Amino acid sequence: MQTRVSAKITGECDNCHTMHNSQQGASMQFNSTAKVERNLLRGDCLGCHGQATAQKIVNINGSLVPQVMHSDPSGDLAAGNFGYITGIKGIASNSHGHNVIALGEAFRDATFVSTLPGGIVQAFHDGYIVNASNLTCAGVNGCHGYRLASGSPTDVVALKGAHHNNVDGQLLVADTAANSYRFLVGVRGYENQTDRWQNASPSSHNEYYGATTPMTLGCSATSCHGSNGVSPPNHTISGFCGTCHGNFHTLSAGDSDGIGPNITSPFIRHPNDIVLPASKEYQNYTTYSVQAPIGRTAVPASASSVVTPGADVVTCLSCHMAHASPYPDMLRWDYSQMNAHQSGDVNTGCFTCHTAKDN
Amino acid sequence: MRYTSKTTGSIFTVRKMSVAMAAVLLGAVCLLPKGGNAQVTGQCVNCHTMHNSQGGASMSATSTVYRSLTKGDCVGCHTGAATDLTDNNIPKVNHTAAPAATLAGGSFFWAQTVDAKGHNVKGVSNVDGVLGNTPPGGAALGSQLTCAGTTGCHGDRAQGDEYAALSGSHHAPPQNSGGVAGAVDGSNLVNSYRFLNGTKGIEAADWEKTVSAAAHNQYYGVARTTDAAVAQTISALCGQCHGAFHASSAAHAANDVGISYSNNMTSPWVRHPTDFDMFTVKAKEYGDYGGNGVNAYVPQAPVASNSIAAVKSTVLQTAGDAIVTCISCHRAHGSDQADLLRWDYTAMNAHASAGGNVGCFACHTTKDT
Repeated sequence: MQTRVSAKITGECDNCHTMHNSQQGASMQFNSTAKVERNLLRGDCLGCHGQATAQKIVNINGSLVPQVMHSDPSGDLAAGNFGYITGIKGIASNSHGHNVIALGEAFRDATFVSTLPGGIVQAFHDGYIVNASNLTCAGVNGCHGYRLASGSPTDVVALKGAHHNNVDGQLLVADTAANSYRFLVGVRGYENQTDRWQNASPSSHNEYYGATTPMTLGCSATSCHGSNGVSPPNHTISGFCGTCHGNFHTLSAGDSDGIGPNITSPFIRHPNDIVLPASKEYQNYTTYSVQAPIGRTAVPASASSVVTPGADVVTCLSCHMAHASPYPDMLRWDYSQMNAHQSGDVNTGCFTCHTAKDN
Repeated sequence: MRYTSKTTGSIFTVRKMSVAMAAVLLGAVCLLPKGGNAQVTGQCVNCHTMHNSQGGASMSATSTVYRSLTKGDCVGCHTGAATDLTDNNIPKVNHTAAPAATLAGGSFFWAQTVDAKGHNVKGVSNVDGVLGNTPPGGAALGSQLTCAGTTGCHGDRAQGDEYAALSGSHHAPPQNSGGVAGAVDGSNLVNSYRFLNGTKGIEAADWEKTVSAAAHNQYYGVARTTDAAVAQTISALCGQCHGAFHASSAAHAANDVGISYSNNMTSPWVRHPTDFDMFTVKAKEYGDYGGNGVNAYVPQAPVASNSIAAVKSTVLQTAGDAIVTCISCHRAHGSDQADLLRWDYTAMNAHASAGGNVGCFACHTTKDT
């Protein structure tokens, strides 16, 4: 039986909303600015979820608000922390995460002002529509909420209805923002119920949905454009990343070389949405690592600490944080410390899967 | 200098300047052999790129994406400048300018411009203008020679793809068969001499950057008693393509057949023998190989052993320790001489040379003076 949990936002309306952005003449915005926000909110996406406090989960009068930018020393939420870009946590670097424009001009990655890495190589997509000059949290040039359709909604507008209809836990439908994994429209998955928004331990974590073969670009058989806006037709988390970074995800098609022509080694780019082999060094990854999480080909109703090579799959998030990390390329570990056959039998980082290449 | 490679998808699809640049860039990475063995060590990023993208730019020198997520192909990673033999501990088998010295296998450099001076592998040179894709002494390959795979020398030759053919090889731990450093017994690819699948031998840790009678690769050979093919020897590896130069199933009953006239691996020969033990003829001039009464191993004209228990510094001490091989005379990759020879064949003048027992005369010690 599907474990869908109502996660509708609860609490007093004024925890999040302000009717006139005025209380005794003062701003009601979380950042105290005079700027008013759409949907009568007390902040935009970062205004609510990136309050830059020392708490990764802010409690506003009983309403729990997950924070994607903070300085909490106890750790970060599953997708990381934009604070690694701005420097409120760790060392600031624009290479540490997705450079959403809400972070400010100083944190716009100069390399990607008009491009993005791994952009889709396909007619009408080659202009790299999304880049560091226009990347938003949500909407037409963002990740969350309704993306690309009439009206081109951005930010909070793209998430209209999501918070008040949110479902949590096992998300199998994924046809709206509200019933999709983390409001990523079209993405299936399991949102951790034990330690919400966190990958806390091998037995308490989100479960990412994956497939046994990546998508192939195309407008007919595989189109990301549907009635729900732009979303991955395979409903996987990696497929979702591929809606912008298509050349890092797809199989070869046309001018796009992707990861290669098929799901057989040797690859030309690191594969995702591909089964972790039940052979060779890969068979040794059997206990879920929150540092290098694997995906499941069926969305489970709860988190499992067991990894099954031959069944579980590699995802983009096996290596990368979605928002930001302390390391370049938003990696989950310091790539410069991945030393082949010099690291000892650590089985961390790359060696979580490539278990024989460390010692 | 004419540079002839036009291999689509190769790092050598660009003009020579870019080849040099590619070599420099790839040479800047660090592949460190572990414990004198060929297992790579160092940062993953030195050799690999996950998405061929960093800061939006390609991580390979030519924007080409390579299989196995590498930053270059075989030639790209193993090409060096003229004086680069093992910089960053990557053995260089090809050079962007004429090398003054080479590793044991020689250099493809000369084959870039002269077909006869090396194996004409894809990515280095054009198809041989005379031979086409048919190796002398063998059957047509069907397509141009490659470094590895079905149409190549290295790796699993059952695999058509070069990268698949070498899968797992560079990361394999030291084998050291029988407890001897660098020894490989050919039991599988990673346990094969220089990833020549099935071949036994002892690999010098520096690929013979420095070489002496005491420090060198130890090639494996078999002392044959008939012309029939043997297995696991370095010559047998050559014979996989150049079969008629190594073995025959019949006596020389007609032209183009056989090694020895009577199919018994004794003189008279119809082709120069390999996998032939000079110990059996040490009473003749061959007994002076490496010097009369000295019999030091001669790096210029190496001989193989039927044992990989130790590197031989002296030979002709016991049966099977002075076996003639293909690479007693030839460099595997290429040389500055025609036919990949280790010396100038045109300078081998019978009974008119100054002596010194070099070249052919390393074995044929009485035929020089």
